[in-house]
Amino acid sequence: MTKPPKLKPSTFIVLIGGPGKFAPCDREHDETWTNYIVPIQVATKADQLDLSPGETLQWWVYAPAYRERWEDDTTVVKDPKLDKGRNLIDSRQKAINKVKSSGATDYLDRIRNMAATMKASFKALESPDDFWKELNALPENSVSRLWYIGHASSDGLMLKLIHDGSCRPAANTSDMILVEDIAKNAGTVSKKMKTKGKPSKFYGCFTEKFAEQWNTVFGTAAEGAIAKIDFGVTDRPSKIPQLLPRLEQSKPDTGWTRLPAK
Amino acid sequence: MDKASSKVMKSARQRARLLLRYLSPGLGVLILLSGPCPAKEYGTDGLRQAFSELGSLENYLDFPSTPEGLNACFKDSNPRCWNLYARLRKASMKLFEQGAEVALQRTLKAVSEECKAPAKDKADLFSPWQKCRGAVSSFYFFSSDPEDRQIIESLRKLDQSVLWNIFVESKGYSGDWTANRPNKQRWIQFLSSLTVLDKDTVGRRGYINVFSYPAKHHTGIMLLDPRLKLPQDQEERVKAFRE
Repeated sequence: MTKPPKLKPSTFIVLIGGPGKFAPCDREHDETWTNYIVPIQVATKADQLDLSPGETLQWWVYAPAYRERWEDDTTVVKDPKLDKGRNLIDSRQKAINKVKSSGATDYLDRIRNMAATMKASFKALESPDDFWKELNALPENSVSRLWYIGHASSDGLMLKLIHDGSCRPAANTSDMILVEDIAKNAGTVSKKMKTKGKPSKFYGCFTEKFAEQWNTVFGTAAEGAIAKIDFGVTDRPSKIPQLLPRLEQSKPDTGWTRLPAK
Repeated sequence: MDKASSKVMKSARQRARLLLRYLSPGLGVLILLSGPCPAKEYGTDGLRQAFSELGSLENYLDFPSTPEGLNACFKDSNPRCWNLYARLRKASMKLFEQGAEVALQRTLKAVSEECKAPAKDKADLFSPWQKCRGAVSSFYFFSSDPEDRQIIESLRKLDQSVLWNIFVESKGYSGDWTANRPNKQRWIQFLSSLTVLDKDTVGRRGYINVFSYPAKHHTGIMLLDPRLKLPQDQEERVKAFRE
């Protein structure tokens, strides 16, 4: 009897960026804390990840963002002086209650439990450097693909959002994975990447440049958004039934770049 | 030439020589006054604020990175996007107010000053190295061969600790300036000599890789170059902008 071919294990990483604290002056971003969790949950449940045999899923979550959001939400809902409507007190209280009733202690704990339900392993990242350290710790030729879900700009992935004094959304440098970080870390990380495989995808605004550089440096297929993505389409009725293509076309001018492996 | 003309020419040359001898101390002063003197000016006239602004370019979600993006932000009258652009454009105009040559001297001076230590300035919202990064990012504006040589020569004179701050602490390796160097090999050679970078986990090789695999332009700093003219209506709105 011939033995079945041995499956080569590989790792599919989903890097999950965080929301910022809710800013009443900016109704475009992060009204709910789950914006970047729900897409991967829905895609996993609907079998849209297209896992290869031997491929395992890992959720790498930017922990500081979720800790700060929990701290802020739980503090703000107790403040009787705040305008309830403007500060979305009811919906934030509802979110807190939902987390607590699930048995989780906070948002991060809730995500850990969600990952387990999705049969994904969970890793909390404390800094952008952790992302590269964790990649480096993986065996050679083991990373089949990387997906990112979160805030971004053409300069890189923004793992946590803040606002300046004029309510303009931004990120601290210490919370960013910059486009140039890809080349900077190429020396060690490129050995970890499988060159043939399904594309790495970057679900964030203006991630095209990040995807291009990922493709140039690692030679793997990569995809990203040309302009803005609206994560709000997750909850809205749509003619596009599958969530990921819906995100890729979430605004009339979003545009989606697909770069084949080199 | 006849004798008479030759006599006239000689006396003209003599007169010129005399005039030059008479004027030369004054001319020296004149040249000194009109030439770059950034050392005295630096930090006294809002220039530090300009570098802080330029150092925030990569932190904003809404900064337009292409001319099309800028046009859209202008036409949509999106105040968040347009005001941000106008603010940063004014910062680059400040840098260039005395011309490109002085702007380069000011930038090099800023790098040597701002990258010595992290700033404790509340205006630097995104990083204590924001002014240092703003100055380093401004290398983008100086991409001719002589300017590039001048930048490297200036960096060579800095302490290794300052070079560490430039490349590692402030993340000065990011930005479009790494992509528009006229001679990448020169930078690769320079970085190869920076043993201090070996203290970082990626070592010298990591920083050399940034120049070996330059990313396509992505920051939008090209839209801030004051030497590139904007359409008149946009230029007027930048001038009129007050935050």
